[in-house]
Amino acid sequence: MTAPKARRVEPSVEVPISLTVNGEAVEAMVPARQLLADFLREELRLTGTHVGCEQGICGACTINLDGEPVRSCIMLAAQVDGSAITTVEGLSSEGLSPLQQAFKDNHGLQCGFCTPGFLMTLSTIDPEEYPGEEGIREAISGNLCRCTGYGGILQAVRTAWDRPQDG
Amino acid sequence: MKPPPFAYCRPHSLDEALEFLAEHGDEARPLAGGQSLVPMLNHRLARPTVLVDIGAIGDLQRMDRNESGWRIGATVTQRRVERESTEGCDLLRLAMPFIGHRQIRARGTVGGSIAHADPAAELPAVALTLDATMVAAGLDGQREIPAAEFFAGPYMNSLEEGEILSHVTFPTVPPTTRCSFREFARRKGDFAVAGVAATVDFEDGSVTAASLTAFAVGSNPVRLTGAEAAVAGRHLDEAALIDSAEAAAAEIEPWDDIHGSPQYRRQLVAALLRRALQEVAP
Repeated sequence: MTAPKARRVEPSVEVPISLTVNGEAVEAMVPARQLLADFLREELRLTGTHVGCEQGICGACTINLDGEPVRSCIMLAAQVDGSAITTVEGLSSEGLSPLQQAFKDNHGLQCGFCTPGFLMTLSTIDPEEYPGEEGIREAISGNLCRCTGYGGILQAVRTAWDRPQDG
Repeated sequence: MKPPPFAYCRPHSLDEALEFLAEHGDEARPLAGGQSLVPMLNHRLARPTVLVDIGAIGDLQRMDRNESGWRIGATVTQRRVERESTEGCDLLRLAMPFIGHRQIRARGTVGGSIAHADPAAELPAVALTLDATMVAAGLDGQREIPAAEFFAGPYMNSLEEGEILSHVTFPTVPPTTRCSFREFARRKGDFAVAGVAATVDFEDGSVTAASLTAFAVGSNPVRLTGAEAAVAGRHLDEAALIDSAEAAAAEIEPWDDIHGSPQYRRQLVAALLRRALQEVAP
């Protein structure tokens, strides 16, 4: 398969992008220097994606990009041309998703700042391919929570996915 | 904590990317997964005025096995290497889970990590241990650089201005070669305080070849030639383990930082190497 030869596009401080965000087509002209997290929050007003450390450490800005969890604070909006993104707003069309409800019921959050990042990381895991409790701990090791001690978060996952402790 | 202004382009061919780099000289930087470069932009530790995004160049996203090994395009993500089989290259597979977190590996690339040459990074250590070959592409053609000559200091590589690291070939090893990858970090996903990579061949229980590397202890990953000599031709019994660990601790010149003193890093390397050799021993 040979892609049609693209015309040379010179470096520019404004970049056109088209992508899908939470199932809806989005077209925008973005500043080259704009971080993806800031594009989502400031242009699309999807403020559920939180900006914490802005250096790829805390995980609060995690989104689902083409099926993988990624940190939107260390990506440029210009880099996501042609991609499909889900943010925490896209997890459920009405009310809370089962995992969100389980977070609420099991003290999976206190202040809630980190919660969208946890939810988005966990949303990229298929509950049918449950990686075990160790696998869940591994998966969420890239998200920092300073309130819960993680116990409530693990309990929320077990509850939502109907898994026994250490199962 | 926002990047300074720059111009951005996303060419679809390597030649076009090289042209942009040539036109803009040292003002331009190639951008792969951005997991090191974008934080550096956020911190304004890097201030390129042109970013050449190499993420849309098809040839750099390919991952093929040929007669000499796995030829991995520069923008193949670490997550993809982790998920897909790299048969005959176990060390590569073993090292992947130590790189940052899954969110980082989803974007972070093989070529990006190697070109970035972070002293604490895993992929440069794997490349050095396996004697990987780096392919540097330039407008005048491509050249091959052995791993032993590629790393030129902390965060420095031996690419010439205008060159892009386009592929890395990791040699495959026979199924009888045993591999181990170990590192110590304070928390899961943190940068290593010290790490060790090992591939060892045996015949009748004796070591016939050993490639041992330490990383996060100096400017670049370093082959532990003293420790390699200490195990050559020997069964990996207690005496051999002690000799090799002592040789490793003596031959490295660890730096001193907030994460560990040189003495602590010597002890870590000795302990990690001992465990690695115990793991691979038949």
